[in-house]
Amino acid sequence: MTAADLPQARVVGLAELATVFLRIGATAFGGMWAATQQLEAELVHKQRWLAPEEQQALMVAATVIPAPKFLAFAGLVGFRLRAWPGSMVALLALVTPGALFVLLGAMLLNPATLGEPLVLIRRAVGIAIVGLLFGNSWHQLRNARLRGWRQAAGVGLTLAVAAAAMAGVPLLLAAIAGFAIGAVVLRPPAAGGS
Amino acid sequence: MSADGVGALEILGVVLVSCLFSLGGGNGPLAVIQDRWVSKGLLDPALFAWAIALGYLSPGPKACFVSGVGYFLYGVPGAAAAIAGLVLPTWVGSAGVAYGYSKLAPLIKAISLPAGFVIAGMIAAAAWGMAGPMALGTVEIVAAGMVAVAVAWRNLEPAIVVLGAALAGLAWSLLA
Repeated sequence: MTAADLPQARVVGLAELATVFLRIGATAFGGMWAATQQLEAELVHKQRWLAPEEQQALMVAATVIPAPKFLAFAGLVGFRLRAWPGSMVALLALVTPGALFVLLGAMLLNPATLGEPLVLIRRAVGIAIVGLLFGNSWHQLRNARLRGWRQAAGVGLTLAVAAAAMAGVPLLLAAIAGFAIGAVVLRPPAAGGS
Repeated sequence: MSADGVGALEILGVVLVSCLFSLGGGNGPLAVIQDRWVSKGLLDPALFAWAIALGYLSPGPKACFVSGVGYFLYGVPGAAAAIAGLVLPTWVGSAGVAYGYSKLAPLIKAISLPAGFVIAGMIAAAAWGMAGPMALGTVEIVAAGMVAVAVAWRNLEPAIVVLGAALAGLAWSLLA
């Protein structure tokens, strides 16, 4: 299917938009990229709201919005279909199932209700989360699209930001400085360059 | 459980600002929240970890963990404020990109290249900040290191890590 095959001038209702994104929010696990096939099945083939290439373009555009990618994608699809109201409806619908799940988990599985057995479970989970975060940090470095001296400079930037934050420099300040220095030092290689 | 002095407006503001650090990686908000509330003693590190774990286990965007953080800080209104802080900048950002991607493209291109490295540093600092108050023993440090290696090199699914840790904690509590 291409954009030319899409039904013309069909107005998508906000309730319909909300229903579809609620369903996606309640059944998609692992983030936007992990849900690619599910999104295509729902938005391209079932609802026929987007062409495949349009879905891919919106997914790429979502990665450049300073917001969680999955949410940004929903916001873009909602905006594409119903402008500002559609964007808000899609966002709220996507976030609601997960937010309720976490909220209920926080309410029902808190130390006051479960007491002593939860203490050791929480500690074990806490240790796992610490490992998970260090692993995610490492994974970010491994996935960097740079090679050679640019990669080395990037790793230096990572270490500098981390060391500054650990040494007591406000995290936001360290991050903003990192972005500024990185934008100057790590310019995209010129066409044909390294 | 609620921290003194943290209200719904502050939760909204901090989560909103933290969202801006999602560029290049979804864990940026987590680092800002750790820095603002956990390292300052306003939120128990174990509760923070619990909220993150629930986020990994829940469907939809992983950033939904902020509703747990908001709840632990200020109850249900705090959770609502956190979700609003997540949704509002995304809403504006989506519209901005939809309207003027070509104009924003050079700036986004300049920032997106170093973003992964900066976010990696922020996440490492957050992990360090979480580990400090937990006063981990040698065996626990080794366990955290093994998880880090498994996640970084084997792309281990975070939900499996969290479930495995919960089961290990349950076994630990039964043995204790």
